[in-house]
Amino acid sequence: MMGAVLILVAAAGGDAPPAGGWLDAVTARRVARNPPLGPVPADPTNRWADHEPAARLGHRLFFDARLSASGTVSCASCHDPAFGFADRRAIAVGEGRGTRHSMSVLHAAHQRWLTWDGRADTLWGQATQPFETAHEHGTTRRQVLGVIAGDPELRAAWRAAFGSDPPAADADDASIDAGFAMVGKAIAAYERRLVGGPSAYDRWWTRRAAGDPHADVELSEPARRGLLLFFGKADCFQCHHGALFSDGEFHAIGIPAPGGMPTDPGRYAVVDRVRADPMNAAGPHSDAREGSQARISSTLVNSPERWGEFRTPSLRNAAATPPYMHDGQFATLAQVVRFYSTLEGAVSLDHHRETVLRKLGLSEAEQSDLVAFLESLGGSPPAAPWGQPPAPAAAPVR
Amino acid sequence: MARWFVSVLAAAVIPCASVVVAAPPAAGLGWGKHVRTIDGLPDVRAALIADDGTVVAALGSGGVVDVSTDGSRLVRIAPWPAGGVAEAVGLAWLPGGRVAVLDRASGRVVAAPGGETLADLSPARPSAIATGAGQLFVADSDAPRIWVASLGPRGREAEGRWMDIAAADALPVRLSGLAFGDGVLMASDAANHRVLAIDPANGRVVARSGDRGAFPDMWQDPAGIGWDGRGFLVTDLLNHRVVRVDARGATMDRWGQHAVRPREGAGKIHYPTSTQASPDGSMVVVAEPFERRVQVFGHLPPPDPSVPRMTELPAFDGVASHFSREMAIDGRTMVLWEPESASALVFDLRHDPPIHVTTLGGPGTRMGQFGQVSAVCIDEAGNRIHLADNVRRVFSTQALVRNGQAPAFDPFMGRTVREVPFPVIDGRVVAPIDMVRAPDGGILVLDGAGPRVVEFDPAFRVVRTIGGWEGEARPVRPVQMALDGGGHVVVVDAADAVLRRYSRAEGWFLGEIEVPGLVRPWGIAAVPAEAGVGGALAVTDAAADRWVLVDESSATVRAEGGGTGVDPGQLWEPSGIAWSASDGRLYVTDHGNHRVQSFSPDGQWMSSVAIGRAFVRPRDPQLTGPAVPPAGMPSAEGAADTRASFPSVTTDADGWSRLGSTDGSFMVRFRVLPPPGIVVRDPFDVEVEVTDRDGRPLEGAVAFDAAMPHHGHGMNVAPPVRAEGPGRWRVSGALFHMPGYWEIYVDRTDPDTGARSRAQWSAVIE
Repeated sequence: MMGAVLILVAAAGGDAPPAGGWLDAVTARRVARNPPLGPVPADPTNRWADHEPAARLGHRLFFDARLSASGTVSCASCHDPAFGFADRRAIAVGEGRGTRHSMSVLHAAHQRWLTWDGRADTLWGQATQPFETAHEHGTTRRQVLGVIAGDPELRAAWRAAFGSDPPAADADDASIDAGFAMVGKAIAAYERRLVGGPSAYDRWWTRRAAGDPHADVELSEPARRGLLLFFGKADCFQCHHGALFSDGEFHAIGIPAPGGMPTDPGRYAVVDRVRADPMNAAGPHSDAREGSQARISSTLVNSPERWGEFRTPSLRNAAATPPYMHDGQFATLAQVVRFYSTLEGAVSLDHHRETVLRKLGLSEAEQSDLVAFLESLGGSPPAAPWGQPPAPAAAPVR
Repeated sequence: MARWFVSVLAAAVIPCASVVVAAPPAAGLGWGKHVRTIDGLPDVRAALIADDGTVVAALGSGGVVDVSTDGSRLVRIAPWPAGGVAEAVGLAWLPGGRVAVLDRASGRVVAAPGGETLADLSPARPSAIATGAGQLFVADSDAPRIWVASLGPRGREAEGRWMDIAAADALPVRLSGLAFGDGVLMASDAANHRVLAIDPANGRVVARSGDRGAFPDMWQDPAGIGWDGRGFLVTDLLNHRVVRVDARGATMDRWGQHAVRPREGAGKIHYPTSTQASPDGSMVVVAEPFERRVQVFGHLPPPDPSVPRMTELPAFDGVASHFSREMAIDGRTMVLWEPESASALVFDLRHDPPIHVTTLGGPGTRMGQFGQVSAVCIDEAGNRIHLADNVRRVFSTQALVRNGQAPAFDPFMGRTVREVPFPVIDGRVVAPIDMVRAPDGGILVLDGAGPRVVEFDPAFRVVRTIGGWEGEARPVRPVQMALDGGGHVVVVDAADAVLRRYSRAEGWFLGEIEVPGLVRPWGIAAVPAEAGVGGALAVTDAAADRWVLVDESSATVRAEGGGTGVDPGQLWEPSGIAWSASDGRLYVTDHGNHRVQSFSPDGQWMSSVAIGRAFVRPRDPQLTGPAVPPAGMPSAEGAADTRASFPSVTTDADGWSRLGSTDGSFMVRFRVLPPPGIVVRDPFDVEVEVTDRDGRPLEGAVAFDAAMPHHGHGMNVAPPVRAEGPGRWRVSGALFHMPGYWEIYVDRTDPDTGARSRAQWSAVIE
């Protein structure tokens, strides 16, 4: 490579699990880049991001089904704590049938882009969108704020969070918009608390990095073999890297589509929307309009290669949130791993396109080991009170 | 090859009530049921179908013919020159069952039968024609405009006028197809892979849809449009399918599966260029000139799982390429243009069969990417490959960063050096059809806007223009060009089936070379006298599936090769041809068989290179060792190692780095902020200083870009580049979103010439 300038960035954080025994040096170097999750990164676009009273308000709003057209749909309807803050459906059902599988909200605060197509660049901006989507909550911002203003408990929680009263239902549009952004920020403050406890992998990582000679007991034999595959022959780490086990970026991997022709454009359809969204990091409601995320969002460009790209999901807790993929077509992790191994049914429309994936040809035992490793990424549920509906619940949760 | 026509009378009138569709297909029905195939239609560029099933086919220089359902044929317009139409490329119904024929070569619209001229649009080169609501519409292929004229019962009533199409964006529009329906004029824009819905009263684009790709609402070179009463049928050329869209361009339905075996039909589609529905909306005809056929389709109740309704393709190993028509050879280097991946394949001819060493470029609109290339030439000694991109309208110059040790495939051997915009000469943008490099280094371009020949120096500055020929001197349908042994320009005329010779410096017409038996000549290469065959010209005949070697002076055929078929040595729609001095062979792009074949000058097949495979003629068992090139040929030598000729980055103690542009026209100093450097997924800035070799600031706009060639993508953001002083720029908010190998580019546009030169370096981001 002529004129190559090699730029190395040291791995963040302290010591990492050393190589030795079953863990070879190459894998150890890659494992070092998938450490346990650190603290949730700061979100300068939301000045209430770490404000506990705002999180308490957001906690109530998250579970409040009155914030929907029929009065029966809350955020928790599709992001149910009993199901890892996702649901068990292939395609979400809110006020109507949706278009994609519900993502888990756990650890969402670590992501740069939210939802499968990255249509929101802030956690609080994303939280506002489902309210006004017909098949999700099917309501309007004015109605949402009307419910809050009309409920004494919510009004009190709002005052505690923001130090002012929520806008009245008949307030002008600008006040409603500003109030709606605050709804999003409160929910985001709550969602930032939705982080699970350490997983078996995390405990192994930490103990081994500390030099604990018995660290390996945290991982079963199959999980250890699966780890070697994940960071080796199966190449999963190429996209599922980092503490989140997700690069946070977008890829089109060609999962099977009915009739061989996919219909969901993914990232391609939203790039222009993100740039223009008034609730984005550069918009009037952001608390860091000149910040780093604002700059990124306002210079996004689209291209035809973005068609069919979806955001790499985090693999943490994946075993608790079937089914899988943006349309929920794989019911189990075993089916996911089988697809990556065989590429059976993969969409192939253009024999010049470089495919991101190649057939792995894993044996049944290897596939099962990979699944065992993925299961080792599950942690304990979020700490109380956040991981459960607020007590007392403001409205029945569906 | 004997012409097929049965009778010369062009008096056929198809009984057909009107132009407008009477009964649209019932709601819910789709297209795709294969009814029949009509073979034996060479160069069928367009077709119509009447309610009784008669197909009217436009055959380029072969005239226009009607084919009835019983197979009998009637000539509507005789082949050129008898019929008066040099290149029939479009058809549209006229009142009374007559047909309007679009002659691209002369820029005229002619009625048939009758023969009167309905419109004369020369010097424009029209691409498509449509009728509807009593009007005639003709699209210009070089400029975004459509000709509109009113039609009376027997011809024109009012003068026509050009209507400019304002697409309201900066993209250069290339109109390829046109249809009128439901008050809307729908045009396909092949350059930008989209369809445009146009208001026929004022040319305003009311809707547009599409982008490059194979997914829904995406296209690859949409070529033609028809109206079926409910929607517009668009032939999606490089996706091998037909898509029906509504008046806003949104997909309603699609059918067509890519034919993969040679000549495969029965509903499989291969490079469809034009489609039209019968006036009663019961049938659709699709023209596939690549296969010399049309196919007729009827309705299907959807969904019918047995009918292939998408273009799923088998995966290929090896070079998955279609080896199109454009090719060039210099020394040991062969370059082929591959339209479906918008890239150029580079082969090393030191080996038999040749080895694919790298691929240049890919589809896109940025520097270093390609739209569609129409001409290639190579300067091997100077390590330059020039490509003329008719969509981006630039001459792109590439170089190879070559390790001379051993031939090996390196996907990133290519480097974009420079791009020069096509000049405007006498008010017309140059539209290259072919390009030839002269022994003295001059580059001659056969320009369709003229036609004329423009000569450039190696930096693509215009040296001279020859052309403006009239009468016998004027090529009717110029396709390719060569320089003969005397240094004269020889142009192939596909309509007249002759070669025309001109003096290089003054453009004097030196006469025709009439080669007996040529039907539709296309490619041409000069074979030097030292090759042992005397000074000769090798010419491919796309219709006769053969090539001939013609003596330069006597025009006698000294040798020929080919023959219709798919076996080694046989050809189907052969196009480009080039002489390889290093191994004494003719290489032919056997376009219709998706391969390149080589022949000895006496006509023997020597080797074939195809998708994923290659093979050579078995050697005489009495010979030992590798085949020996003919006597007098240069001996084999290693490929030059070019790596040292490319600038490399040096980093100074103050943290700034320095690099020269590949062509030496500027120096760049740069520094990444904040220190210590680029962190994956974190925005960064770059301070850039552009100077001459002595360090003086240089004027000229600067652009910044980056790409991951292994993944085939660039950045997801477009960081603004702001001027901060003379020759000083700041790139704000670049972002490398993935770890891996990145190439980084700083491009400077010369304010005097408009040429854009590139400085390039790379980084591996962890």
